[in-house]
Amino acid sequence: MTGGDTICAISSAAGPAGRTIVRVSGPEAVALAAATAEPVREMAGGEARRLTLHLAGMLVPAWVYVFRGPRSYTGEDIVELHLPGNAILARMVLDDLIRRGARPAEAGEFTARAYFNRRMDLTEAEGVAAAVSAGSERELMAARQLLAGELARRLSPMMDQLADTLALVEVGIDFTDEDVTFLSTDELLARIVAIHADLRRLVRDSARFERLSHEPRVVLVGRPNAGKSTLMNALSRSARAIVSPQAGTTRDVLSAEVELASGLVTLLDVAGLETDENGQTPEGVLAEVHQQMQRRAREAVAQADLVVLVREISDRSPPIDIGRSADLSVWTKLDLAGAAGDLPAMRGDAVAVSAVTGAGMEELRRRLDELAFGKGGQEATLALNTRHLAEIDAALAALDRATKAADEGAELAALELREALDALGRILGAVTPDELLGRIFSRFCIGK
Amino acid sequence: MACDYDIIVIGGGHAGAEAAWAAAHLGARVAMVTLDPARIGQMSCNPAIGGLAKGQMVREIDALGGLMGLAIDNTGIQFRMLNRSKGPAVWGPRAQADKYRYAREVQRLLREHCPTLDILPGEVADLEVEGQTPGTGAPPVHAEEDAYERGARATVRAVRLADGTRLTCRAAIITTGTFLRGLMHTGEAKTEGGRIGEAAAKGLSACLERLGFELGRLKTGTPPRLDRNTIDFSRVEPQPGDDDPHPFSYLNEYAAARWSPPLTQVNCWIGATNQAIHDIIRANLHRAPMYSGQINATGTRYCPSIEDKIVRFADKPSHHIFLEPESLDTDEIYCNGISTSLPKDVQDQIVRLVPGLENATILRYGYAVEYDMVWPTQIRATLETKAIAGLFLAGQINGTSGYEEAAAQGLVAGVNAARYAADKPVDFILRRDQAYIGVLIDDLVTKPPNEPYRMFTSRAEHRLHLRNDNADERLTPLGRELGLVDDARWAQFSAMRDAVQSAETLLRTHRLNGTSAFEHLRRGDTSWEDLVRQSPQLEAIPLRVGRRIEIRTKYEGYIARQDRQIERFAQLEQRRIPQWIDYRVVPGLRNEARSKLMTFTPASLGQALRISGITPADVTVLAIHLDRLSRQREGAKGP
Repeated sequence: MTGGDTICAISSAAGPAGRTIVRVSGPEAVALAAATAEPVREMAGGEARRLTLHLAGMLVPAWVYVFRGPRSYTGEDIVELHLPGNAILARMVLDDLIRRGARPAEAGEFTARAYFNRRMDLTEAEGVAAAVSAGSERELMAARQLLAGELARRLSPMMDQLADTLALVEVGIDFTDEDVTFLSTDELLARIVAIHADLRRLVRDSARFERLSHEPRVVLVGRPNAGKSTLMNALSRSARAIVSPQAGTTRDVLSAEVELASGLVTLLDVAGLETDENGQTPEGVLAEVHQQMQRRAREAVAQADLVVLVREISDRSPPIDIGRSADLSVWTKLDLAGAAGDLPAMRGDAVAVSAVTGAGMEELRRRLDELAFGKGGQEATLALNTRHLAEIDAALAALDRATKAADEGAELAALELREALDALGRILGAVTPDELLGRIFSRFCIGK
Repeated sequence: MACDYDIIVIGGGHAGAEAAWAAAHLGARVAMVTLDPARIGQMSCNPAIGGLAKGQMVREIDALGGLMGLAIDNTGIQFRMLNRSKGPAVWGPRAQADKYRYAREVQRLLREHCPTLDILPGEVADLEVEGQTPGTGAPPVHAEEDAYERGARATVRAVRLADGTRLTCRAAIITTGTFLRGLMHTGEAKTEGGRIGEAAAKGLSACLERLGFELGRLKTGTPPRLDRNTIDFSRVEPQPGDDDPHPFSYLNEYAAARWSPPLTQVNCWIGATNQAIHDIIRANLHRAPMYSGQINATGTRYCPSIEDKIVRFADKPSHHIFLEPESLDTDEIYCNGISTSLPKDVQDQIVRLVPGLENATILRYGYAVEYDMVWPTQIRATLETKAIAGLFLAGQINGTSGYEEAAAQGLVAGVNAARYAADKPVDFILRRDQAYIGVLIDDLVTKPPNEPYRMFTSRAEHRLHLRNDNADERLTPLGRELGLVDDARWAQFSAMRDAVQSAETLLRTHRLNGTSAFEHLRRGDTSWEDLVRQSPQLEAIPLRVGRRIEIRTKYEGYIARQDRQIERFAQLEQRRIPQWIDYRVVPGLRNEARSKLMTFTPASLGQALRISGITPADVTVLAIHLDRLSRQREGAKGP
């Protein structure tokens, strides 16, 4: 669909990347972006600035580009927020924009707008149509998978409750002649409050990708030459992926996001646990720095969900002291190992890999996945994405209004309940007025 | 080309009467062909007009300059505003009619107010169509909308009556109700016919099939009628009308501060079924056509027969029976609530077990009726058939139920047929946010009904705006533009609108306890009566004007919120899809979307989006294709 309102989307390819772009297009693009970084308002078309976004109590550095319509890609005002390569941040920014009134873009919508605003020619338009259609097919596939999934299992009963409640309100409006026992205002309120609480619980209990606390943290420990960085790059499948040095200090903790079969984990490379070659600790100023690094590293290890001990396959020295037992041992540089006799005795919690040949990597990913998310057959973690959350938020807001409207009239309560139901319907499929009537007729003997 | 008539309306029920009225008021030369002119406007089922959502539709018909509101106001014998305990958005006016006077009133109004209308007794046996129809081959695909609309499509030329008469016409409107291959069932007995004592229309069904239309089959039912003199009214509960009856027609509302119905007002009564009755029905279920397999057409969920109620709600100990007088002059009492097709002997037993009806005599037994319908994927929202230019369908033939639903379609078909005959654009379509009539027709063409379609307020997403109090503000200006609203109605409407305007100005400037009177109304902390009591200056404002403002302010915030949504979709509604478009060659369209679009051939992108299975992305693909076509066409025409 085309034009009119302001749309937003994460624009760069999904998955770990050097930077992530959140793109906003439409009449409110500048105003919405300015809400997180005031100077956007005065930026000229084509201008780029390094700004600090104010986001949920955090300060996030970002490059901000402003393109003014009609001389932009879509022909409308566009703001692009280029964020450090971090999917969490991008989703937080997107969330924030949606809460302020932007709408998540549909498949191909930016390009469709470009076309309709005459920013693209006919030949390109053909390609657009195909891309949009493919995107839509993918979305439908995803939606169908969703219906069989965990979210549907948990959300459906609430939607059902909501539809039943609305049906009860509607039956009171549309069949006033009948002697059906309708819902009293108190019963209606009790139902709304219960659904509201259930929805809130669903959000609270879901392992939302955005929440760091729910993203398993895996710490790699090992000596400097054990191959941790190479392993991180290999796991995150991108050499650019690494490296957001964490706040303030020099290189004491590196992190990267790794997509495993069941979800994302954060991989941390902890430096500072190792002693130098002759086992001496430095003196003077260096000693102080070293102690600080040691403290941070031990904290990181203590807080980690999983600790992976990384050792070079030829390393025969005693393992370093990490203050807790490792969940997994990884022997690296398998390709450098000569005869089988060079291999150390492998215990059950050890995997030998080569980042160069890829040997053992799939096994490592599988083991990490198992450790982080449990073995298959266990209850799946429910992960909500931004769009789901936005719709559930909309439903919660409508239910809030419904509690107020319940006193003011059935027709007003019905309007709010309908909005809540439609919001959830955008996740799981709409309940049409006709289906709602079906609920009424199957439960009540009405009609003359 | 000279024709006998501009428009031929086939059928004289509620759709036919409204269609003839509208077309004649737009200046068309109209013939109404009906089996029995004395039965024009007859109420075949319950003797009442209006109700929830239906009442709003009657008000809309009236606001557009239609017939139904005038007829019921003059012949109503009990008026009630339903849902008064709820907000005014869902109030629905309903009236019991003297059904004989109602039919005569419809006939009088048609005769006296439609000088260009001829009423001809007869049965239409055949339609004469020129050009290729789906029945004779694949639909033609044309590059030019105009060529497609004018000439290239098959076109209605004439109708043939059973007696051989041939009447040429530019357009025809089929409003045959339950008469298309009508088959009535009472127990094991089957009778061909659309109504008791009247023959079915069989030729027309065959003709429609031959023309390529896909027909469906629906079922509806009616309860027994009792003899008033055999009922003990002391044992049933009386149900009186309102003390302050409200008219359907805005003309009657404008004319007097307090309207009084011209006819004597009477009571209805409420009785109830009991276990003994339910036992008898259960014991005789095998003799009910719906259960014996004698009928396999689809019935309604919302208007179940008494046998249906007892099977589906086995633990409900009792069901209401509403006793409704059919006329001031006859003794017929309509038993609303026990529609049935059980055999006569079982109907006798059932009725006599109802307290108060122990000695009741049945004057007419209940029956179920099956009839043909044309799947409404084959009509446009203008009610013109897609395949045949100038052929319009209205009423039960499109799968609806109810006098009001039928009349609403009759009006739309009448207006569009008149526009077609006058070579004007055939484009009278009401939007969903404009009228229940718009919701009705949009639902029909985007979601084919699998049971007779009845209007409910819950079908209208803009229910708070589609009220019975503001139908004139919503639609009378449009009726004026169309030419249906005459000078007298327009003057009265304008006077009312001005009165509301100046009252609103007064309310906004008049302050009460530091706050404007308007604001008090908006917050809902002061009723209109209290406001006037505290501020004698406001007494000059007529009650009904004050009431309008009070209701409007109550919903203003909600409606403003909905308006923003309407705006978002408005441009999609305005983007029309030419009917000749060949979906097979639209690049990038998903297969599912392609087949849905080929079935429904929506008239606008907005309509397309409401078809189940069509995604916003599909609409974008379609939009790009349309845009490409129109750019190509502009290019082809050259400078």
